[in-house]
Amino acid sequence: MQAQAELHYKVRWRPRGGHPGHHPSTHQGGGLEFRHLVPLANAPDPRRFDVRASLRDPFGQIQVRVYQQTSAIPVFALVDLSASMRVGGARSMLARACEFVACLGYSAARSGDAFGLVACADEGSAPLYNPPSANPAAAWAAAQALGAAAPPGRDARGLLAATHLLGARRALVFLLSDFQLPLALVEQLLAALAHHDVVPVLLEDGAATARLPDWGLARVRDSESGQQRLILLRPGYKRRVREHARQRREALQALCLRQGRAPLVVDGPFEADHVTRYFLG
Amino acid sequence: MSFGLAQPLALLALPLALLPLVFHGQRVQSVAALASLPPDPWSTAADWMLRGVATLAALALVLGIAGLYRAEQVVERIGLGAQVVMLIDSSGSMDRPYVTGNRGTSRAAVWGTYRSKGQIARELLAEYAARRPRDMNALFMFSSHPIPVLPLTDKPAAIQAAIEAGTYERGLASTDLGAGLIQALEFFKDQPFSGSRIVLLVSDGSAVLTIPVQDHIRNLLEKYRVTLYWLYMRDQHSPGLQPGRNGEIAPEQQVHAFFSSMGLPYRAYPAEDPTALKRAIAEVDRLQNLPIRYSDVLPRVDLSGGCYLVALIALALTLGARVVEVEL
Repeated sequence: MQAQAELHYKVRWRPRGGHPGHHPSTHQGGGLEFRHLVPLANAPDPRRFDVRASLRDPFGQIQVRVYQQTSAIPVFALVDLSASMRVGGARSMLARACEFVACLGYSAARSGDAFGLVACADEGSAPLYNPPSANPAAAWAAAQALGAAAPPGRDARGLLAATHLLGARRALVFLLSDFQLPLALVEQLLAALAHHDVVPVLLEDGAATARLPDWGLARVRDSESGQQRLILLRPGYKRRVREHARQRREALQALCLRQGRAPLVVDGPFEADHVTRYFLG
Repeated sequence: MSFGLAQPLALLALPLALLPLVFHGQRVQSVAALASLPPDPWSTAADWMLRGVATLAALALVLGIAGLYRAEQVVERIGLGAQVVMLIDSSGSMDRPYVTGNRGTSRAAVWGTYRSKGQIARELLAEYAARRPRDMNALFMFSSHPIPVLPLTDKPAAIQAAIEAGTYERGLASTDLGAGLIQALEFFKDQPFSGSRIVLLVSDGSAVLTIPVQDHIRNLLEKYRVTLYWLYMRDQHSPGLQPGRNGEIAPEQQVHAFFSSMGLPYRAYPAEDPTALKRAIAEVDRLQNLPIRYSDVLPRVDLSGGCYLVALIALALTLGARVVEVEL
């Protein structure tokens, strides 16, 4: 069995939780980051006694250093389960999302963060929900559950309703989708998740349009609406498809940037280092 | 122009032609989102064109099975030339050897060993008809009773076939030249006078015309304004049309005398004269080439072959569309 790759992430905000972890937080406690000095009476921990500050104090009070601890944050994977994610079988976006979730869950457990999974498609359907847990086995189970998730949905509107499952604490949310959604829905979704730190993970196959044959006929069916159309492929049309995809991606990028973060584009096979570069690079 | 069907019941299959509008029969491939493929009018046009072609194929097949035909129709045509009624004597005397070309072939006249007058006559007529393809010709045969073979037509193939048809068997015993002539002349009855009318009599003239018959013939020739040509087939032992020195009278001489004495347009062409046919043709040429209005019957045309051809092309197109399908 291949060793599970590990990815690293960091957040630019300070979590509030007291549960120790890897992320600099606002919680004072046993960390390395100096915060301020307080009289011993306010922080009765003589181990942090600061000699120079105490001597300098005009009132002769004994000063104690206070540090900020690093805390754990909840990490969520919010996965779009709409039918478009399943197109392509073993190479589908959902398969890639499973790899991502497995790696993310493992890495979160290694960082001491609790990892939870919310996957959803239609509005009416019950979302797949694994509550946050620091157990690495739970992350593994989550990826397995995602692979065996319920039949594909027609759209991704259920994600909107499922956002409350993420809880009230600010969390790092990876929104995994191919973003073949109406841009209005993406905007609504990002607005509903504004409380959290959302990393839109754009799963795409950029080579797909390049792979299109120059000439030919193809009858295609939309995986979600079931609508069918005949496509008369020709070089001019291919150019238009590519241009269309580029424009859509730009619009999506702009939208995500407005909501805080640029999308993390996973083009082709999933690589953990790619995610790490997104956060640290 | 009207159309008909040989097997109208096959039209029950006609609703099948609507199938391509519902089913396309192509391999369907799932794509993540149709929105990623911008709308394309050419693709839409190709889609409907393919469905149309498939519908056309089904339609053409059903019509082909139903046996579509264009019904026979009567058209009015305008021909040029003369209206010629060929009146061929097919009596037994025409089976006798012709005056030239039979010397030494046989002592006794055995059928098949010599060239008969009838055969020569038909060769001459065929040549005549071939040289004047724009004339309208009718064909009558007579021996004891006149037999209409072909009504007035300008179709060379039909005329040649009608002339050819008489060459195979031998004629009947009796000859009634009068009845034949009268019948041929009556053919012009109630027909608009729209061109020169000619009766081309091809006979050896070995017949007797009684006085009433002679009167009748003269009246009809005058009434219908018909020119009479006689392509005279001379017998091996006949003295010819001109009376001999010793005053004997052959039947053809009597007939010739009667025709000549009518005071109506008449000409005799002894066929043994190699220029006779040429002169006859020149004579007809000299007569005015008036336009002839007549109605012609076009035969029914079977269109199912064309239907199958259309279906074949349409099916080939749909098959081609299937072949150029690609995987995305």
